[in-house]
Amino acid sequence: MAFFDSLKRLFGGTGQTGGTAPSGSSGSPSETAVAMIPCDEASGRLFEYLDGELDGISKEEVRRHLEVCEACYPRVQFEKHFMEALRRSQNGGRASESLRERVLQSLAQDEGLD
Amino acid sequence: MPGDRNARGASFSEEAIPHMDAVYRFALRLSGSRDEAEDLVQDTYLRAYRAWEQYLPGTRCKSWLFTICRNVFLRRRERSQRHDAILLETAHDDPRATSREASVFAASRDEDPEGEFFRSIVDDQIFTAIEKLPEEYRLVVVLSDLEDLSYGEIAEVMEIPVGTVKSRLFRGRRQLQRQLYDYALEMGYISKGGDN
Repeated sequence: MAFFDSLKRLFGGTGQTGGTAPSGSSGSPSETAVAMIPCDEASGRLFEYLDGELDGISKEEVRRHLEVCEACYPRVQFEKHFMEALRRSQNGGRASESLRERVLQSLAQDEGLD
Repeated sequence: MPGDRNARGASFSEEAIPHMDAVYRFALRLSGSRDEAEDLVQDTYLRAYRAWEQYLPGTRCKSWLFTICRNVFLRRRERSQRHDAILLETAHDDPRATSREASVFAASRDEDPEGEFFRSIVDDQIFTAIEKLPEEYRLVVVLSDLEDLSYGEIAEVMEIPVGTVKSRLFRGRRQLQRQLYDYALEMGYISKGGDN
């Protein structure tokens, strides 16, 4: 992973913090054929992208931008680390056995009253 | 009909009961109290069982239970007239919110641009930070980031438009990042730019 990340950072982006992604004026011939959205547009859709809420062209535009944009790379990692921390933290809350019993008892009682 | 009852009980046990941990967590986030959360779970399951015929098989049972849980909670709150805890619907316009949402990414860019410090923060601290969020943000963040509901499902549970889900999620996450960043600073997991 670190190897691929390094490659992306070396060859992928503009190197301009807060700037725009390659827009066709630089990069390899294969890259120039791809229409790129600017950083602020990709950033504006970043949460939706990470949440799996984008599809079709919108998703593809963000994906392509993030694949090659060096300036956006740390931002993506930042948000991912944040979201991973939240998901990790959810393991705490569990319904106790006594609550389960209480719920099942109340359902059984309700069934009896029907 | 005993046969119908048995079938209802079986499908309810199969589809609804396994979500009790998630409903409990949601109830805990709603109420902030373990006792109240347990009462909410009991009421939620009772109502869900009585209304089980209205549940559409194949739809997401968890978000349906969350919707009931939230409605039970709101009704209880109305009854107890705890107006101090009423949803702050105008929080979007709260000028203080802007400073709380200032980009932590920008603040930590020099020291920790990829947010590695989030990995050092213990779960209890994250729980506490979520508790401190205003309710309207807290619930959306919990449903999305902890319970993995889609924006559309959150919109149904919360009875708000999808656009509002997006904006609350954005603001809630930003406020949460700020709290966790401040905590990381306090604990020395990260230092402010220029401190070293």
